Amino acid sequence: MNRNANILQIENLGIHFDTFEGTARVLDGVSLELAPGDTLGVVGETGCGKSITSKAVLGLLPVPPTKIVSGRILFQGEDLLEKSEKEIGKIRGTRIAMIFQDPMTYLNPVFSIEKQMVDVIVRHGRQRGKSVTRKQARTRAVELLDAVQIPSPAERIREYPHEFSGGMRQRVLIAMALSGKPDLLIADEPTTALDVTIQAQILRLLKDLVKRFNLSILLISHDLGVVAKLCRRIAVMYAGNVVETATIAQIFDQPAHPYTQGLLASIPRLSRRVDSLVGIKGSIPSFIDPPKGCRFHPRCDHAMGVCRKEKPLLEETSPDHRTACFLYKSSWPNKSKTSQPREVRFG
Amino acid sequence: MKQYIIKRLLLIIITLFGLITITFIVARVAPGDPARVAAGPDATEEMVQVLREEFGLNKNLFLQYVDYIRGLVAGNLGRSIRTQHDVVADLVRLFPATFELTVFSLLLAVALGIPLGVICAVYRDGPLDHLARVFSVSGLAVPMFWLGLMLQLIFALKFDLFPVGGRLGMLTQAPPAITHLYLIDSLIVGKWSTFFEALQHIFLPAIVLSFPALASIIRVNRADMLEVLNRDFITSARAHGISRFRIVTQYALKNAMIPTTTMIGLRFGWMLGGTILVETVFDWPGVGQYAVQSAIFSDFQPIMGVTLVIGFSFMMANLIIDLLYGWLDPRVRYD
Amino acid sequence: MTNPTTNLEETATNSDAGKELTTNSTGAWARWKEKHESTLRDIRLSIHLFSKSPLSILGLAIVGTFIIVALIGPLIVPFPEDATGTIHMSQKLLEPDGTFWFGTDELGRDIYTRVILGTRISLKIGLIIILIAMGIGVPLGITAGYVGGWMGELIMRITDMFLSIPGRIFALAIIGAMGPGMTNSMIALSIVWWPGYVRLVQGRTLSVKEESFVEAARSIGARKARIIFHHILPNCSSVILVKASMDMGMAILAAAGLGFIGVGAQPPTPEWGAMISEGRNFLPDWWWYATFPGLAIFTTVLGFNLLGDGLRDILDPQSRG
Repeated sequence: MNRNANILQIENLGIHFDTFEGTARVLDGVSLELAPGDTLGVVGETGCGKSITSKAVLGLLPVPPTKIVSGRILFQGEDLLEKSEKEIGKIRGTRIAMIFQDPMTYLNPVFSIEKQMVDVIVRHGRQRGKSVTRKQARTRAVELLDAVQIPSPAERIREYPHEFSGGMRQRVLIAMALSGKPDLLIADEPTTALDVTIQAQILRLLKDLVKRFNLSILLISHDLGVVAKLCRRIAVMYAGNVVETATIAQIFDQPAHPYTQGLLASIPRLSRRVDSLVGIKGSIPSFIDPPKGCRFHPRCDHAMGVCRKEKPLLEETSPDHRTACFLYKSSWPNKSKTSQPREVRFG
Repeated sequence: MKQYIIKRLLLIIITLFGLITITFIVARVAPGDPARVAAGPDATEEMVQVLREEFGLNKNLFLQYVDYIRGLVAGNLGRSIRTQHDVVADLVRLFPATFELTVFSLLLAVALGIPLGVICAVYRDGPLDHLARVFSVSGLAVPMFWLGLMLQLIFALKFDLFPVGGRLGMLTQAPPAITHLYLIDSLIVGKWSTFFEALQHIFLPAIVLSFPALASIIRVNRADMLEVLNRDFITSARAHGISRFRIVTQYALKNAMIPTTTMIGLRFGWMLGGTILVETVFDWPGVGQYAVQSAIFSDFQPIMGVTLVIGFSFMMANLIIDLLYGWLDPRVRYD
Repeated sequence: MTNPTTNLEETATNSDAGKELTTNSTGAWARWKEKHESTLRDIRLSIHLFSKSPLSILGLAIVGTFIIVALIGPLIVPFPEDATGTIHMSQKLLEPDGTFWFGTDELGRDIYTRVILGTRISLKIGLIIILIAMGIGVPLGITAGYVGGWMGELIMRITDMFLSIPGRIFALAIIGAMGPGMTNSMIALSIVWWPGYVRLVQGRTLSVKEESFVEAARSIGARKARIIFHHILPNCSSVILVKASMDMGMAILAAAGLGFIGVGAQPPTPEWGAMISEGRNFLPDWWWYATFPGLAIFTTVLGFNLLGDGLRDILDPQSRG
């Protein structure tokens, strides 16, 4: 795939975070690619850095204490990290939009939905050089609420966030995000705070919107199931690194990285008898003093000498399937491809 | 909501009754003989006795109480031994001055305090922030009456920039009594010179009275703004591209005003109490000074009257503030 | 990282030496330390946090100085007889100089001496007001919070009533009825102050009551009194302490205010507020009379405010502003 055609390309992003205990190296060279109209899901445990990656795109991280130490974020060919706050401001909402995890806390509780949406729509209009009156913006807002399937939008728009249910609020946020007609939508755990049934609705809505508006979506989630429903491709992150990228089918059929294998094995399946829960031994490392070499090696059953010393890079192991693991380097003599992780008993 | 207001007004009346009762009990039960103190050190026994009778102090405590309440309901708050006028007449004459001073001071504190609090939060740890922090810590420690004297000393006596006291110069005529508030009345009739003179006179006392409130408001507003600016919906607004100015002055500020308003209400109460000090220092003819002079003379009825008036004002102010919450925060329910 | 074996050897040597020196009393001390280890650790952490804030240290220093001056005041003043009653008309209204650091008043008394002596008076006033207020307010608050019911309601209604009027006015009303004087002003201010403690303690008791360890204690049949003293009170103590330290400054300020308007301590008592009131008559030419007692009030109250702030930051970090 021609790299320059990617709508979003994150290259070797490194981010440090100053804490009073020291400098936490939260992102250790993250690379991701998203083609126009495609859907990429980023999966990982809490704390692996996926949320930080997504927020970095729109420059929403507080600097300081966050510091971007390396890498580029290319959006439609331009490096966002090189842009000034004003230039990024132009992109926010109009070309890249973002929705977040908890719709209750991400909506201003003291303003009506109407005010919040109209403010956004008027602002987007201004960015595009069109002056939109508040009345016109209100009409558009009602249309958008209708598009995300909010019942009686013309009446409900005057209400306040606390008068909506969780699922409705997320729809409102999606409507607000789409109001600027963005090319890229970043969704940071959009369904985590919602009930399972509502989750399904929201995902269906998003899938529908992708088709209708040719949106590209970057979805962040810790839930493999959610990602599988919406995304074509998936990237697995661990402790500040991307360890594997592939299509959904490839990940489920042939997980390459030991961490991915552990993740998949730990999902209990109803169709099989489960004698014991499978987990990955150990716990996520400290970012202030991370393990040298591959950050996963302390927990890896297949760790080799080189894993403790050098960091593996993402390399193609089969078409469209990249893995960052020394098990797959063709120059190593003891190459072994194991697909059965050892069972670990709990307790 | 109307029901709520009515309920609150009823509560105010009940509370005032309770206040009268408590003050009565404390006053009469406490050691000390008000009639003797009022009569003065040279009075004979007979004179003290006459005073006692005149003020019903020889009657049974409960009867005194009933007398007072009966009088209160009829609109009679007793008579002042010192001024020889009805307390009601005295209060009506003096209250506008106190009202003007406290409201002006409150507006000053809010108009300065909130923007300063916002600026300090936005430019955190900047030079203004440090200055404001020093100010807000010391602002609460400064004795109001001493500050008043110092300001008088420097700006009125040494540099002659402001008058020493009073609402207007000795020879100036007061503007026609429409609202009884000199600042407003002089503006209404267009008497500019009177307006400026009144402004000059109110300036120093207002600064002193608003000082602790200003210090508090800056501090609280700054803290609230910092807390709100960290909230998720601010990140969301930024992601939508809303301008920084709008985020600070609308999205954040309206949320931060909710706890700040509580502090403003509290501080207004302190301001009302502070009038007894500030009016004394600046010879401001209001109910505060009236209360002080009555207290020195142990003239009980006027003090009771002032207590009621100020208590009522404070409770009304709190009611207005509670209604303000409803406007600020749509989640508030009145029931 | 040290060699593990070496560590063990060291430990062995230490305990041997310890054993030689151990007597019964040291054993008891060691046991006490172990029993209260977590409390001691908390205290050490608090001290560590406190010492990180220069303003809090300043507050502590001021308050410490204040207390020391109050205690030893009469021993260090240059002119102890100027406390009350003396008259030296030949040296009246002198400007501050080498002998009279703060100048003299209209009766020739050394103002520096009187300000120092006023420290003791202010400390006494502040302490009495706060102690009485706590003595009434804390028990009422715990009762209202823990027992609740109609008694709790009644207490809270009365408390609300007291708090619905600005304190200074109420105090003035009480003094107006009782007559002026230092004792009366202390009584009046105590009456004004206790409701604040009721509210604070009641709220705190309510939340502590819901904690699981209280439920656990109740379920094993602990008596009410034991629960109150052993669980509720200790958990209220930090907020009470914070409030008390801030209130000390405010109480001194309030008492000085009453002294200023003439209904508190009466002359010739060297109370700061009363002195400023006298000094007011001598502005602007003899400015020092009113200025220095005011500076004393300001410094003292500032010290208590900073100390209270610092204590709140370490004891009760959630409540700010």
